[in-house]
Order: sequence, then C-alpha cells, then structure tokens
Amino acid sequence: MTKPDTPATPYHQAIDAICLSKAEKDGLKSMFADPQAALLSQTPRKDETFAPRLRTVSRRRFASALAAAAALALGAGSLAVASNITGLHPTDLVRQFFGTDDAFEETAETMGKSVGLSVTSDGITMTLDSIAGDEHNLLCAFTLERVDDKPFEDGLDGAFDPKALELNIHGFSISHELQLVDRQFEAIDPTGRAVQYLCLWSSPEQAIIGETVTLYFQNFGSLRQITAWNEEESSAFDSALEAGLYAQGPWEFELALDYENTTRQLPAGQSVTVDDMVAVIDALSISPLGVTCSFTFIGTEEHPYLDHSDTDAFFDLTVSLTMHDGGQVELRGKNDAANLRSSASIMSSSTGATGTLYAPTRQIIDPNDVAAVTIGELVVSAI
Amino acid sequence: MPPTHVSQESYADYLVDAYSDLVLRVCYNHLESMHDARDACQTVFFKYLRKFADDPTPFVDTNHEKAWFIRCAINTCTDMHRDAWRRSTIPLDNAGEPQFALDPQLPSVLESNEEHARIYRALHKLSANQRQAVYLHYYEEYSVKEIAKLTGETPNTVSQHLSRARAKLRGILEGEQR
Repeated sequence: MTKPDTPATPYHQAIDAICLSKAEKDGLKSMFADPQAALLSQTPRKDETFAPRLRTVSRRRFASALAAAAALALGAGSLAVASNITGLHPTDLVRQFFGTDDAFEETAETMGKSVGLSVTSDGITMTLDSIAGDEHNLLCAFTLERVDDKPFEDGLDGAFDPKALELNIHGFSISHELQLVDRQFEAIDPTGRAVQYLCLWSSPEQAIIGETVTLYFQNFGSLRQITAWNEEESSAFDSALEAGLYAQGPWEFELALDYENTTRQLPAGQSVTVDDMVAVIDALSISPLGVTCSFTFIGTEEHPYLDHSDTDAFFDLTVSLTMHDGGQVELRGKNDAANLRSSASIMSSSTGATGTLYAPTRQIIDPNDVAAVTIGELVVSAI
Repeated sequence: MPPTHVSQESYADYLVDAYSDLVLRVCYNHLESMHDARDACQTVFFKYLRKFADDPTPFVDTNHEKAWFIRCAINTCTDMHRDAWRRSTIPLDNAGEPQFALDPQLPSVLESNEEHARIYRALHKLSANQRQAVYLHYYEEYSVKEIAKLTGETPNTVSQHLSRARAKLRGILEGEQR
C-alpha cells in the first residue's frame, strides 16, 4: 500500500511557514548568473561525497475545492461546511486502494473528485476529503481530528457502528445491500491528533453515479479490545466499540456522485452453473476497479424457490479477465479468503433468490483492454 | 537532465524554486537558528555551483535532484557544527538547565499564529535527529528506509527517532494544555 498524500495538518502548516523570501530566492538565483564571481566570494569547503537515492515521487498536495453540486448542509447538530483542509487527492485515493502506474494516471483522475466537507460533532471533526469510484463502488477519504487536540491512540484500528452506516439515494436507504468492503486507518500527523479514514463501499445492484447520496456515520471508536477481528461476530464488535468509543457523533454528509462513469456494461442474460445450481446473469459490468455482477437463481421443478443452503456454492465463484494481449488476470479465486475486498451476497425471498458479486482488481485496469470476463465456467466477451 | 518542462536556461531558477525551502527546513531542523539555516542554505547552493559548474544538468531525474539537496544540506549542517566559531563550550557543571526560547527570527510565527508557535516550541524540544526524521517522514513523506539512506543511519535508528518523537510530542502537547 502506498503512503497517502497528507492533508495540511497544523504541523504541515507550521513547516510551510519556514521559507525563504522572494528576495532571498532571487539572491540565490543571481549566483547562477555569474557562478565564478559567486564562488570567488566563498571560502572553499570540502567536496561532498554522496550516494544519491532514487525514489518515485508520486504524491501531490492540493487545495480542495467544493464542487458546486456537493455542498448541502445536513447533520444532526452540525453543519457540513466547506473546509480549508488540504486533503487526499482522488487519484491518490484510488492509488491507495488499488495501486496505479503512470499509464492509468489519467483514468484515475477522472474517477473521482475533491469534496472538502467538514462536520464537527461530539468533539470530532470529520472531513470528507475526496471520493472516487465507478458505477457500483465508492471510495471515500476522510480525515478525523479531535477538537480537544488530544491524540488518538497509537496504531488506531477504528470503526464506525455498522448498524448506523447508511447510504441513501432518493431518500431511500440502500444500506441493506450496501457493503463496507474495506476500511483503513492511518495516522497522518506526528502528534496523533489526525487520522485518515479510507473506506470502500460496494452497491452491486444499485447504480450510484449521478445520484445525490447521504453518508451517515455514528459511534466512532477503537477496536483495540478485539484481539481476533471478525466483523461477523457482532456482539464482540459492539462490546469493543462501546469500550473504545471516542464519540457518538453523528456525522452526516450529502453530496453528488458526479464523477465520470468509467464502467462498461457487458452482455447479460447468460447462465452460470456451480455444483448443478444455475443462476442467470441480470447485469455484468467492468470498471477500473473490478467486475460487478448480479444474478437471479433458477430453481428446479421440485424446488422452484431457493434458500441460502442451495446457493452457498456461489460464494466460491471464480472471476478472471482475459486481456487483449492474451494476459490472464485473476480477480477472485476459489475460497479466495486472501482477497478480502471481494464481496458476495445472496438474498432470498418468497419470490426467489438473487445474488451479487464484486471482484476487485488488485491494480486498476483499463476496461478497454479487457477481451473477456470469465465467471466460473462462463466466458463473456467484452469486445 | 532537467524536467521536460524546464528549459536549460531556467534550470537554475527551477532548482532554487523547487529546493531552497526544502534545504532551509532541513538546515533549520539541524541548526535551530534561522540565521544559521539561511547561511547553510546558501552554502548548499554554492556547493552545487562548485560541484556542477561544468555540468549544468547532473541529475538523472527529480528524485535524484531532491535527494542530493537533502543529503548536501545535512552534510553542510554537520560541517557547520564542527566549525571553529561554533566551538563554544562551558563546563557541564556550570551549564544549568537548558533554556528554550523560540528563535527570535521567526517573529511571524509568534505574531500571527499561536498554534504554529506552540508546534515550534514542541518540535524544538526534540533532538535534531528526531526533528529531522519527523520532517522527512511526515512532511516530505519519505519512508523509514529512504530516510535511513538520506541520513546515513540505520532504519531501526530512524524508527526509534520517529517513535520517540511521537511520544515526546504527545506528552509535550498534553502538558501545555494543563
């Protein structure tokens, strides 16, 4: 994981104040106009012996600008206001999660936008620095700062109450299908007073680009009391969060997801089979961030409607890409516990069972370079 | 070669604009005096002139450039510590407690921003090596390994500098709030 671009904390701002004046810089520049005269005026010192170190400079800092469609002030007890904080650039946000190389810098640029909205509630200021994503997946970069200037604990492993996490579209919550795929916390200030929170949400069934969404957070705390982290053990999680609670909040943000849509829709309607269980693909898409798919499970004459036990095999569905140059990229292997960001869900109702799948890339790709997507045994041409 | 957007004629201007503040800050971390840091900064650029007067584009790329200026600044400060005019010593039993005073050549900090002044006071209670590690890691965003290469220390030593600096900064900041 590459280091994030750091926002302008008070430390950074203090260091910014140490600088030469324009006159002093002009004086240095004048030395180069007449090097011999400049050198004659100096006492010789010993030559430097030095082994230069090469390093790729990839970070940028920028002044965030409030997008015109993004600034609606909501939030219980606090307003989301434009912030002067210099935050994580969308390109660096994408790089943080997915990695990029220079070839895809331009793609990463179009996939997000700077936001710069701040909400202060219950002693913590939460700033939404930038967002990036595709039609179904949303990356968010936040900065959390304590108003009392006290530090967060070293090596903070923080979390918000998952029950309160919401993403609303048209006033309706899609949280029931929204999945928090990944989260990261990292200290960004040597005093420990500011942490960066990055999160990846997946909405396989509901397209989110072009929508105005509300992000809602509550109960922010440390999970230090959990020794073996398992998000499915909700009781252990709740107890740990309560024990390590920093603030209840809430923090609420409303913004438009109006970044460029880099998602390609692929042909749908094919059948995919796993262990004699058949599902029909309702929608299939590919973006720089991976493959997103939704299914409807097909029953049999004896069992026209399915429950979870019939569909569990789909959690092991493999996904891979065939590129135009012949290369193969595995996105999701069988029993792919190592790819923690890959998410799948199955919902059953009286009318049947549906499923969704998100197989992320390990490094962003150009969807136009993909020749075919293979899901299980099914190969779907992307040409 | 200079960056593609920089012409040969303006390369010198580019170097000053790109690295003079960086050099000043590295030197200030070491020397704790703005007067000395300005002097050291000028010395670094003189060293550049002396070394590369006949080779106007000595660097492979901007990473190479930046690393050279940081390393040269650190070496320059080390030299200055050894210079005769700084060898003023007093017996330890006469030294008393060190009295910290914010550099009087940073009046803009004191006048305009108490928060910055507080941070400077906190930073100046670190050792020079700790302060340098914090700056290179949190401001210039170098990794521990990269900082070790630049400063000539081991990665473990750099990690210790950062760890102790973080502990000191928190303790100092909390103490000032009581």
